[in-house]
Amino acid sequence: MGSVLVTTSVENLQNGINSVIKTLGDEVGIYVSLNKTHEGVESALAKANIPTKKIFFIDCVSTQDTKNEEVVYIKPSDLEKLILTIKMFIEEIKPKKYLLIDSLATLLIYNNTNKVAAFVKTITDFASQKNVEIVALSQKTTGEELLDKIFNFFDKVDKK
Amino acid sequence: MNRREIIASTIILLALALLIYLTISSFKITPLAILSSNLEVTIPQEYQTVTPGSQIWFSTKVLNLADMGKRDVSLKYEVLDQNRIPVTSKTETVAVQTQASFVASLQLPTTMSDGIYSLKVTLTDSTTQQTIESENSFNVLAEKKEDYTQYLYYVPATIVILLVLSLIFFKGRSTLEKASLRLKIRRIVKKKLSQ
Repeated sequence: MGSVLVTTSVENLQNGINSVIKTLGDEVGIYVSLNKTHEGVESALAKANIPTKKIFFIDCVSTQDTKNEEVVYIKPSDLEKLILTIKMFIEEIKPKKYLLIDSLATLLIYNNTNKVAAFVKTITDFASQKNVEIVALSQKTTGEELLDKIFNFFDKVDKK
Repeated sequence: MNRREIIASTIILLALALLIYLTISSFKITPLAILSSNLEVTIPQEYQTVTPGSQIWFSTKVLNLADMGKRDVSLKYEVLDQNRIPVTSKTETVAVQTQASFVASLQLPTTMSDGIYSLKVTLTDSTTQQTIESENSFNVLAEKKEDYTQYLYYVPATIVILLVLSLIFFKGRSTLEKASLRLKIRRIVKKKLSQ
């Protein structure tokens, strides 16, 4: 599969996530949540009957670090720490895994376009080296300048 | 002259003679009994070691004077170096009677070098010119000027050390944070995948 950039409307974002996870269900997932708290994500996935036992959450929305010991909380403005966390998860998880980022455009609220583009480049390169499948979702209507910059970093762009 | 006149004259002559004798005796110059007197020079503890250019205070005591009444003497104060060469001196005239104690001071030259010096006091009877002497010694030690140039090396060295420590601290803190994060992630992965 390699790396895929999925651009979709806001209404279809969750459906897009659900279908990706369903497709990659046998693998271990690393879910970077930039739109919802991890409880919100788990709830949404549970509604779609998607088990989350094999999903590790990096919560960039919740402000407290004490809620769940099995979740890593990272500030969306701290891209360096986010990259480090993703890399550590990839290195620690031995079985086949995938990385899901929901959603790239949200990062633009806290960082400028170039920083986000650099973040995407670093992650896609690392994931590629480690043979990790990466799925990045982004709203169609926002961050067009970013999307123009990062299209080439992905093996495939899926416009839904 | 009758008998009465002779007696009166005699009495008058005797009285006159007595008067003359007493007058002469009051002017009689008596030596100051120098040999039986003592002259003491005392330098207080705080002036045992002094710096060039400072003042040295001391006391001079004249003891065991024969009771010859109040009289003037001159006191010469001299500071002598190791070669007995006078470095500075001062003379003053004072009145002594039986026992006398005087406090005096000498201004030392700024050019004095470090070493042991003698304070010599010479008492001279102003009239007979007889003298007695006494000495005491003291140290001259120049104050060592603080060499502040050594501190010039401390300032840049301190700055470098502080910079290095800051680097170690921040890098160390960053390394610690990374290690802590990795441990957390490892624990999460191990727990979840073992379920």
